[in-house]
Amino acid sequence: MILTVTLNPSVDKIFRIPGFKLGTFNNASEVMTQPGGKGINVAMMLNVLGHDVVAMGFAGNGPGRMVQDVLREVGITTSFTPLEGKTRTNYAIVDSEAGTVTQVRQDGPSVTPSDLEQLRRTYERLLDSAEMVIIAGSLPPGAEPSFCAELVRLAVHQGVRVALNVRRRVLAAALPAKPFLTEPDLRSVEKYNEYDVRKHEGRVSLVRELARDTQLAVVNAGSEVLLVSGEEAYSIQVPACELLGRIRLDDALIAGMIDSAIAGGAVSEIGRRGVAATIAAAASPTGQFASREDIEACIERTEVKPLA
Amino acid sequence: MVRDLTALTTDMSLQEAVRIFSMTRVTGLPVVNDKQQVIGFLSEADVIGAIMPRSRDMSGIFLSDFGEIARKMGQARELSVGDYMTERPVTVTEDINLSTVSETMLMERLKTLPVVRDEKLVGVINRTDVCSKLMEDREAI
Repeated sequence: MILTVTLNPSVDKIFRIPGFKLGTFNNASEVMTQPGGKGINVAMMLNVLGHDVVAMGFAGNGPGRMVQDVLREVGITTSFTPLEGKTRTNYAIVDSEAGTVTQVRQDGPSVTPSDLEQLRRTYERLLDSAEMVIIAGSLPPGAEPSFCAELVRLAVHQGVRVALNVRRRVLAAALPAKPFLTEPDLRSVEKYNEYDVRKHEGRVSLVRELARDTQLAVVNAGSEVLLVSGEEAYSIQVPACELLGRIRLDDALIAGMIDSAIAGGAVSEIGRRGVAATIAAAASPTGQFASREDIEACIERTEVKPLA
Repeated sequence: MVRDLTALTTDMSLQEAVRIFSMTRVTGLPVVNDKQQVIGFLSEADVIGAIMPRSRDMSGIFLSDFGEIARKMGQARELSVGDYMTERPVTVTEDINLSTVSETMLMERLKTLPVVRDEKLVGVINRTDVCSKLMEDREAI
């Protein structure tokens, strides 16, 4: 079983508004409402790929119920810790004329020490049956990076591999626990530690630094994915994605890589399949998921090069 | 079956359990051990039974009982799920047929049945699920 942890899930409302203008009325040509949060997106894609997935995290009222209902409808088992507050709703405006995606995000409901303790206990019980844990996305108000680090430690202590796709502070706290895979969330980030991640050289330095504490370090800049594992280092170019694909840039990549890692893929193959999953998901009608056949069809569009 | 693993543990207080019932809008939940094995079931009726006086006649609650009720309500955060749950509850496996589930629910007067695989909780089935499935099957005839 693969256990995904989404501490701050959301409902994502995506509006397609060609020629979007600020400060005036806009008509949406299409509105999509989907469960969101990085861990949830990874869970949905892994489920499409045929894995047995349990999704856990915090779920509040209103949108939180919708998230759980949709997950269960598609066959994912849920085990969310209930919260008093309302799960957040995030908004994205996709303007195909300007080629832009504008996103508005909420912080989400606050969690209390008792909520965190309840989640930790659920997590420990479920770890017993997990072969891989994926912790992805932001922290809700009230949760500190040290909590996430504790979740990683508990899994590693039980010999369960952990994949992390989180922001810098959380990743820094969790790295000493030696997760299996780490990918920093680089959205809206220009500098990461001392590295300028807008430049290839900065990203190379970052991925090599992360590789000191993790078996598989990944940096995804949208246009290229860098992958380092021990002495092996690769660069994979990513073709320009559909606009919808930009909203969930990392999620299909993580799901594709985990799928390949569980199958025992070599490092270069893990990277190749991750990028193929990204291309395939971005081209799907919702920009969200890709089937195994879709991924296979995109494999030839990926070129893995050794990283100098 | 509802593929949900929300569960209680024996050391939780009745107050915590009621909070979870309320937030998840359920009338009862399985109680699991640290291996996720089902070892009990706590329903709203169990909680009411824990709070209400045990000895009263058909005429209802005596005025003197209210003192005891208030005291027990105040103690709800100290009363533990393990002391008031139904131990060794009726469980079913994923491959059970609908008629057996329906009969079990009616005979045992149960609203929710934990579904287990190798004794571990994998979901729950409730009366609404059974009714929906029965309606689907009827439409298919």
